[in-house]
Amino acid sequence: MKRLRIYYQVFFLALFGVLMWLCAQGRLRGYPVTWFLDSSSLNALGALVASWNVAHWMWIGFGMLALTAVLGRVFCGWVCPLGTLLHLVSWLAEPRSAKERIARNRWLSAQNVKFLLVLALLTAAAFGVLQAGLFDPIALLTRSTAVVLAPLLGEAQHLITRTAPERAFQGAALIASVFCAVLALNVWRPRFWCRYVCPLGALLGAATRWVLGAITRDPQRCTNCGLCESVCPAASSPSTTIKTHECFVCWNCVARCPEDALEWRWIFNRHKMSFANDTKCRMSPPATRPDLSRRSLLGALAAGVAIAAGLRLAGTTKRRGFSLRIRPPGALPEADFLERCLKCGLCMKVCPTNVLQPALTEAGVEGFMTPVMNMQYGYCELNCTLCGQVCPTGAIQRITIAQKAGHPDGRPIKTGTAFFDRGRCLPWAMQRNCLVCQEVCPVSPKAIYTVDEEVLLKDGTRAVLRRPHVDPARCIGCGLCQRECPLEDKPAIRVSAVGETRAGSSFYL
Amino acid sequence: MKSERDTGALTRRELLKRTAGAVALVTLAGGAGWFFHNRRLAPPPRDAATIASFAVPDTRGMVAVARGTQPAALVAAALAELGGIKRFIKPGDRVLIKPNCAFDRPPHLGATTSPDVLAEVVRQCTAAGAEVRVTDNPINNAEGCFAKTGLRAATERAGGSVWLPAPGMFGAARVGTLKIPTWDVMLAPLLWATKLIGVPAAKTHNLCHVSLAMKNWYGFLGHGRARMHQAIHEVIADLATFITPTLVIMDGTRLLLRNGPTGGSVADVAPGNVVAAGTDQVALDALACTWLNVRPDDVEFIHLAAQLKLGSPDWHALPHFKEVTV
Repeated sequence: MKRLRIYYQVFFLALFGVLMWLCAQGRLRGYPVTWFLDSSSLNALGALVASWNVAHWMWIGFGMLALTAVLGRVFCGWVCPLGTLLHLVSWLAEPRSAKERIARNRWLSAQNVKFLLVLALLTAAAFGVLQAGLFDPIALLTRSTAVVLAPLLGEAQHLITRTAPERAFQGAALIASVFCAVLALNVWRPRFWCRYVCPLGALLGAATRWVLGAITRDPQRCTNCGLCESVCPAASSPSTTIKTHECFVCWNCVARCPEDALEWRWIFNRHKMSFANDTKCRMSPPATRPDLSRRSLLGALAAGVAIAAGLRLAGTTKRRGFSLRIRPPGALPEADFLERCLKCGLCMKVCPTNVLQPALTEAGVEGFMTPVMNMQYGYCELNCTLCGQVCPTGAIQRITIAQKAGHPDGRPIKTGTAFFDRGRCLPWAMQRNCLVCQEVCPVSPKAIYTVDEEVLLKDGTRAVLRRPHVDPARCIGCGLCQRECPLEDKPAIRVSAVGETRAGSSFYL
Repeated sequence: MKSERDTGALTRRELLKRTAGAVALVTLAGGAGWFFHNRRLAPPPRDAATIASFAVPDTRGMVAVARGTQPAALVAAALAELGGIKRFIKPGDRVLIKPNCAFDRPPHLGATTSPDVLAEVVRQCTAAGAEVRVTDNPINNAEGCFAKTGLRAATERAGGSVWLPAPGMFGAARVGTLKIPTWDVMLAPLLWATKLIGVPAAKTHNLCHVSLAMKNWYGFLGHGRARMHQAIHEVIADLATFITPTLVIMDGTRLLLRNGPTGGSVADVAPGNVVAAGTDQVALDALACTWLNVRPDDVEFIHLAAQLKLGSPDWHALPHFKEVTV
């Protein structure tokens, strides 16, 4: 079984890699690239309590919760691709001495922290502030792959073959640091993230309260040799009362036990199970719920409320907004968007022009890591709706190209409006012809029009210049003009979010 | 010896060996420092490549126009009037084809070359025994452009392959004489090719009136090309200096009459039912102007190119001008 578990882990990690590879323009042909994100019960439950909606395939997460209630945290031990990666690092960093390994695998009360974290995150989500994706292991791995690992591979390929397209992300160093820390902490404690932090693991652990099957110990066979403790990545105390809410069901202890004292069995009747002196049942009943004080639970609830309220202290979600918070086409109105966005970065992975970037300060603290368009990196392709196709929660809706272009009401989806900076624009500031912006403007008729004006040049002669203007009724805020402006560092035409369709109102009558 | 070593004292031999080693190390390090000191204080200027003419001898001043409704038949007829593709392409040639694939648009919007026209050009070249690659450095995302314009499918159907731009393919090249002496261009395909065929789409252009054969070479330019618009006519003449093609096939099967060069609405497009092939890009540009209701005389870059003797705008007066209806 242990070998089977390893096969499962390798398979799911490879599947995750393949699905991430498929999540790109030209490869995405209806493949279920969101399934790992959907299978995270934390994403499903968080999005449900925040938005009262279960989008697309997100129901898989509830299926996983039900599976956990039957079999325990098999997701953590057999499926989770981040768990597998961390398992691998932990295995590589394992000390030789069994004694040392036993010491590192001792259960610590700090493992309860994750249960409080998930309670706080879900409480905040219930108030519409969905931050679960920052800590969800699948969202974390997806984001790290999209923003760090895939560009890293692309860059390495570019260095060797000089053919890979360039991809870059703002804040990549930040996401890389977090990812490296999550990997490196395994050197100190095996599967550190899973034991102490992972709120998804905690949610699944909470579901094992009703578990129907678990690894159990026969105290009469057990010689207390401690070898099971030396191989337990979950620190679930297999040598004493097994903590099923921590156990990954990885089968390491069962495989290692020289006395065959450990075995997986159905425990329908665990309430009737008793200790060794009961001759009818020799099994030691496992613990199936974390031992948390009422005070800490109430504290976590209060923390959740504080997160929800605190992240909105600046008032920017509801008030006048941010000029650079330019959301992709199909994104819901900001409050609804934030109730759904997992910050998983899948839209950033699939975006063919690299315009979608993880927000650092563009969308406030609450919108940290949500997707925003940054025209220094790309522009929104007119005939493309890929970001909405891969969004697992519907934060970006699945729109068609026809809808984006304005069918049936003739009003295209606007992500913002472009404005000229006449202090920098060449025909305005430097008396020179240019009009790249007008040339590339993709809508028809063009949203940038020109007016021929006679101007006085510095030598006193007169010349006719074509000067560009924006027609806000036509501009869709795609940013191609900004992207192609020859003033590369700070383009002379820039898009700001004002006038976006999803806000429901426009500055322009 | 042995007792001395045990006490830790240094033998003469050991002393000499260590001294020699130290001197060698210092000499090596010092020599290396001396050698590299200020050697490249400023990096040396990058060499700019020169792109040779792709023209076939004794084919100057040729233009043939074919009118009709079947794009592939028009291409075939126009090429036949020039003496057939075999006059230009020999077996074993590496043929680079440069369509207009600048925008991420479906073909019927007329912003890009017709896939039917491109497919026929590719097919003729492969049938002549050449290896064919099709490339462009579009304004929009390259992969998306080749997919949505239908040009990738057309190329592959006809036996050619698409060469997408990538960072390593670019380098400096000598371009023109008026505004851009050197520029960053898509060098690798130009150095790979032995023959070059431009397949532009006939379009109007808000800034320079028309976008035709000479403007089509804009798709070879790399970084910083948005600056070109400040002196677009001189730059287009420079591009015509830069590239002397083997052939140009002017796609007038659909004509983008308004809102160019991007278009975006079927209302901007009219059926043209015409294809012209030839070796004189200036003559072809002047000819195609008339399809778009633009007077060639009004187009400054045609004048500039004629002054630079890159071709003749009087296509009627060419020694080899043919018209055929299919």
